[in-house]
Amino acid sequence: MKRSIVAAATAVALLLAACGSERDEAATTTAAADAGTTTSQSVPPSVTDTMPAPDTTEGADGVINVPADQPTIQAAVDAASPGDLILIAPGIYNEAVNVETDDLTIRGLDRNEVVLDGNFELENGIRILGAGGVAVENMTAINYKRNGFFWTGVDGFRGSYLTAYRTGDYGVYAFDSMNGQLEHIYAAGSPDAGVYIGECYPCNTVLTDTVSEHNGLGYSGTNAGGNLLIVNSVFRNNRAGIVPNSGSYELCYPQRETTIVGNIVHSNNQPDTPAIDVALLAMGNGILSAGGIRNDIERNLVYDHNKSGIGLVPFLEDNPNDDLPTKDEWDLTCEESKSLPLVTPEGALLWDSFENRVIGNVLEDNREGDIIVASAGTDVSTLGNCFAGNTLAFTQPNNLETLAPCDATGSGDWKDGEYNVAAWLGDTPPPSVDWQTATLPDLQPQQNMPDAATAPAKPATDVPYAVDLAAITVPSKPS
Amino acid sequence: MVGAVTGNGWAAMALVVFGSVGMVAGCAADPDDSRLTQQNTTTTPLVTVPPSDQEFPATGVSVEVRAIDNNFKPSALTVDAGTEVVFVNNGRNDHNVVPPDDPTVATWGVLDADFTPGDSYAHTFTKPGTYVYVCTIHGSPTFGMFGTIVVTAP
Repeated sequence: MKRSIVAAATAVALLLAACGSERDEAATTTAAADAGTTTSQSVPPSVTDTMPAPDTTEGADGVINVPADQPTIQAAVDAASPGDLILIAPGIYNEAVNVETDDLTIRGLDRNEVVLDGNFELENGIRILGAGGVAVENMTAINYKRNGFFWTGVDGFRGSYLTAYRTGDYGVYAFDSMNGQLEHIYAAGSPDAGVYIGECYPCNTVLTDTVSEHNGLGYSGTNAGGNLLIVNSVFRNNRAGIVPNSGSYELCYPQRETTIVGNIVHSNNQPDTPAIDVALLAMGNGILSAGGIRNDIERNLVYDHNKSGIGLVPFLEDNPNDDLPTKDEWDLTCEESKSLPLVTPEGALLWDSFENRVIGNVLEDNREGDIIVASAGTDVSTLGNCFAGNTLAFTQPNNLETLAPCDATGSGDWKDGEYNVAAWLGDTPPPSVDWQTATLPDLQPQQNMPDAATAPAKPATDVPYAVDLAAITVPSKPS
Repeated sequence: MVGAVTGNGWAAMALVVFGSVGMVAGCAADPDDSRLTQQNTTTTPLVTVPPSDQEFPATGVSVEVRAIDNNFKPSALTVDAGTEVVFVNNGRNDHNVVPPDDPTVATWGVLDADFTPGDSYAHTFTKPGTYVYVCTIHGSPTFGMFGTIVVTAP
């Protein structure tokens, strides 16, 4: 029944495109007054402030200009055939676009001036339903009741140079989707996650060069993993930073095998964001595996957290839909596990964090522990997590690198400095703020994709792009 | 504080035979696997059979459909006329249950404002027919989070 994915996982990898420029640039962005809503409210519900499409594309086969050729993005999508390029001129588009055609490239001519605005009434900016190979590039989505950009049930997806701002669920959302690339993303102001990847194994997906801030969670990945890389990105000033997690409230559990390398994760104690209940519970943690399994957390810079820099903790699921998977079942693909019927257990489930590797991270000023390992009933010495080469001040339990070194035999007393994670249940964090009115950093101009007007269509048929993981070093602290 | 942890259900799961869940005409996939059903029908719209004029009284039988993120489980269901179907949102996101031809749920269904996590909605299907429904947030009538209920004359 087991199916090894080792070959697939190791086949990924690994030449890297240059990364980090946006990360470094964005890391210096300063917060200011919120300007997002005033922009949207001043614009009538139609395309405005448009400019002609470039001559280089007019009339070209397979290129549909909005609004020159089609009046709306949806009309262009409906008129398009697989392989077409939809080029969107600057303007405010009050649309909720559904895409069900494979291999489209949907591109804004200017990331900061092509703005999809949900006006707090529309559900999703662009939703791709089952259409494989769709690439969305170089635009902004604001004020959507659910998500800015949403792929569901697809094989092949790419989101590049996307800004999602003030959205009711997630900023960028890939669900039940595999073979993907999310890059050069800026996401702010979601009560759940700025970027969410869920229900996939193997995901075969890369998230890179992203800044996620002032969300409930910077990143959340329920039941997602298997060649899933989160690299070279910044997660700051959220309630919690990077949170891979397990739960039976969606399929394909448990969460496993996410590689988190080369990220700057800091100050995820933000008290005034919108936040779902899990974000409130996770508040004050940098990288938090909540029932995650076999994740590799390496060479990240993690600092300034009220609780842990890196936490390996359980997730307590009340009212679950299914029972815990056995260890033998951890290797089932998502599709294999979906075919199993649900068996509702009695009582809550405790999803522990097993066999994670925490190596070479630089951690500082994480007030309850640079690294914390905890359970709520399970002997944490049996969980199989390991720790090596981290730069840190203290851990809970104490001396984790001696207790559980990677590729060596540990020694010591796990009871020394044992951490009481159950105390979090008694915390009273600042309550969630309405996502429609929460104070957010001013929406700064974000980096445009190169050659948006002239680059040819590039459907997401060749993703994820290779990442040279070995070449990634711990990032420098932003000034 | 921490509830009882029940164990090792997946091994048992594999032995469980699909029970009361029926197949919907036109859907070739496993009836309890919403995603397989949906993906197999993306190019073949579901056949929707309108409810008949024949009406049957409530039987007192109740069947549950869970809305999780982002699936209905089971997504395909066959019941006798007069059966109550209880939709329970046991996910962590808002969902809705909307007949595609009745977006305001005037006849049956529930909108997301009344179907947040933990909410439930019940409807007794008294007329035979095939009832298609969708979570409009996370699906369409042919893809993503949708389901069908075939109501047969007892």
